[in-house]
Amino acid sequence: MNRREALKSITALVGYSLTISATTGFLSSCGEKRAVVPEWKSVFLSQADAKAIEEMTEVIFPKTATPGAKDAQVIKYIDDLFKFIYKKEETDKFLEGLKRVSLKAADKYGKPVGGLTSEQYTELVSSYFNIPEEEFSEKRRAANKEEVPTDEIAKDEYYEYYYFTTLKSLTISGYFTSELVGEEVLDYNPVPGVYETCLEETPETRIASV
Amino acid sequence: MSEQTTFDAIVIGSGISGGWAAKELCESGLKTLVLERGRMVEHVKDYPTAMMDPWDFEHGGYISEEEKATQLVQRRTGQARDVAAKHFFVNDIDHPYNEDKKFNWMRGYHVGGRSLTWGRQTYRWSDIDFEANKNDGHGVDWPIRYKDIDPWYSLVEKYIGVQGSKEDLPQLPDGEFTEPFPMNCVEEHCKEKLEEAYPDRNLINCRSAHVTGENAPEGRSQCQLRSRCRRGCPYGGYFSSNSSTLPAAEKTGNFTLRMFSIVHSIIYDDETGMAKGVKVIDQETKEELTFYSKVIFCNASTVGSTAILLNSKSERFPNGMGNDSGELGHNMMDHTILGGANTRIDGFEDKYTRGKKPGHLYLPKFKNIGGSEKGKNFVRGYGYQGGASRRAVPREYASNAIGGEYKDGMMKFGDWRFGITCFGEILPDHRNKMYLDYDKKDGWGLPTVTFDCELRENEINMANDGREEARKMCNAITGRDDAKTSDNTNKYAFGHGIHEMGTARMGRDPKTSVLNGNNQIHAVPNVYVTDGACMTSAACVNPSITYMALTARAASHAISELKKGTFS
Repeated sequence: MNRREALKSITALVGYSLTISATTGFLSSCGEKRAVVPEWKSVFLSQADAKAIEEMTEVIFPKTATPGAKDAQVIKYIDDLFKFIYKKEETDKFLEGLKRVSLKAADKYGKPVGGLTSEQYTELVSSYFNIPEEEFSEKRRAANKEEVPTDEIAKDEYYEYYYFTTLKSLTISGYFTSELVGEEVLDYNPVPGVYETCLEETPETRIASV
Repeated sequence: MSEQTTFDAIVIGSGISGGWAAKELCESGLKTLVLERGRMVEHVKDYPTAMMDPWDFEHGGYISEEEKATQLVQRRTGQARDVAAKHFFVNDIDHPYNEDKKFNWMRGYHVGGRSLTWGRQTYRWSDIDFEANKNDGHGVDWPIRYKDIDPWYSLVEKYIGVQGSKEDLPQLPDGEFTEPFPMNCVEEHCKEKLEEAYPDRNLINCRSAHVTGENAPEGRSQCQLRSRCRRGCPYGGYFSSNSSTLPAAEKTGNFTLRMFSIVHSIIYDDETGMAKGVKVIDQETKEELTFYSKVIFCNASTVGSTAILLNSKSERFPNGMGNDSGELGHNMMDHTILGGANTRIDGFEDKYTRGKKPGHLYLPKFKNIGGSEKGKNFVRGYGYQGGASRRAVPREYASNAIGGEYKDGMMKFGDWRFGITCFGEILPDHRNKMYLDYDKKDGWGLPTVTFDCELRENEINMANDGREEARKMCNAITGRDDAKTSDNTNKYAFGHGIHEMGTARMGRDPKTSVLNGNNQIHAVPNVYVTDGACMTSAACVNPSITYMALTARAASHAISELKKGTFS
């Protein structure tokens, strides 16, 4: 039984007076082992696009002492949202941005965007973000307007910044709502049973995930 | 076997007041039929999202455009924007209404109604509230005073479980409380600083219908500090009809619950001068059915009950049952939630909290309460809900930051913030009304409701004052002058507080009110209306406890009248 199933079955206990120690004791009695995830196939993006996007999410959120975007399967989240949630004009705009980024990468590195080294991905993605904050904000605002510029250079920038700013948002939300980060990185405390009013923070203290 | 059609009592609606009517009537031995217009929501079993974590929701918890389109109104207040609770709000396409002026009508059509999703804040009214209409001349005088409802507040509080602290404040009487949720260290600090700067103001623990302490009510258990109340609580940690009053009613053996039963009207009997039953349309089959009883409790919600009465036309009541005064549908009230203020609290950077309190602090009204400071340009008053918490480092979606340090930084706690939001009283005003549109019928052939309500000068002045006082109090706590105010005036529409009240008000005079001091329709004494429709004024505190107490009181009255044979 994994922890979530254990939690869900707590509902069967209701009707009895449930004490805090009963709840937590019940939870910790269940050892948990993460299931091996079978190879993932995209439902919306092409496999090549998915591969390139996934590598770029890892530049935005690289693995450190904590998992990276790839570990958290942020790409799966992005692919799913594009299929079920995003409007067609939004996904089209995003993919147009990826296309333009890819063309630039091909020019610069002499290979398609799906085949770059991790250093090259880092260099490519960073070149869009490592600019002064004000300049970045301006480009982000322009990219999120409906009106498409006519000038070719401005047009590239319009789509490319739409792509990267959208990708950044999706990486943050996908990462922080993932099961891996929620259960194993952040403080997972779904049934606290008690409100602790004034704990001492340590360098290991993390925010709650739920 | 054909369906039973005759009962001792009929209760229309199974929400927070209907559940109480059902419990009290059934426990007195009356065979009681509860009519619910929607589906079953069984405690625990029908809370599908209660144990779900963010990653358990499809599509990251985002709602598709097609689904959003079915709840465009319910989404206005944010309620149905939450994927975890949106199934407890109606489909707006199936349940249309009309807005002469914008009105946010938030509804849950299912067993338990909005008792599943209510705010759970539980404050007694005081005589300052019950006497307000009489003293300043707005609306009509309440036919009851605090002493009339005090024992019923106690009865309800003991049964539902209310956590809170005793404070001995004239404007917010104490009740039967269980152990309060503890304040965190920053809340204690803010309380101290605020009360130092303003000795006549009080920052206190909120009072809410959550189970704390040793003794949980039957069938329920202590609040687990999850703050997932609106999904339905499988622990029964907060009060709802589903977890509490309906199971109690069922246990008596006198309880019949009929789902999918949309009430068309209450049937008036000319011979007896009383109501004899209820005409129902089956939501699924659209079949018309009639149920008979000696007494009827109307608990379909403020708007629902008023719409039923308006549609209950007869020769005696051509403008709706009990509408001799012409006040039925008028005097709509709500609470304004037009902003407040918040500020950063320094000095606690090494402290954090764990667990999620489903309610934090309350700051009771301090202007226009007898000898206190007067409102400069408004009557009545406002209070605040608020609290202090330490949030995560902001995510800065829009910034140019990327990388490992940025990612790991967001797993840390950021600033402590203290904030309060102002809840203001809306005056009873005949011009604020709802009425029925017979040209626009719903899918069951019933006329739709139209709203024509707006805020006026007193409400706006009061809210402006409340916002400014909130800013000053935040600054008094910090000793800085950088508190931020929030102003929702442009986003607010009537109904936003989800505290609709007053459209079948109680009063002393049948010429100016619909109900008497026992919640009976003046001219139809075996019909009791005990939901928010009965309210003569709105006060500034959350109203549900008052509906529950008035319901228990009215049920006791009805039971004794039945025993005396008054309704036979």
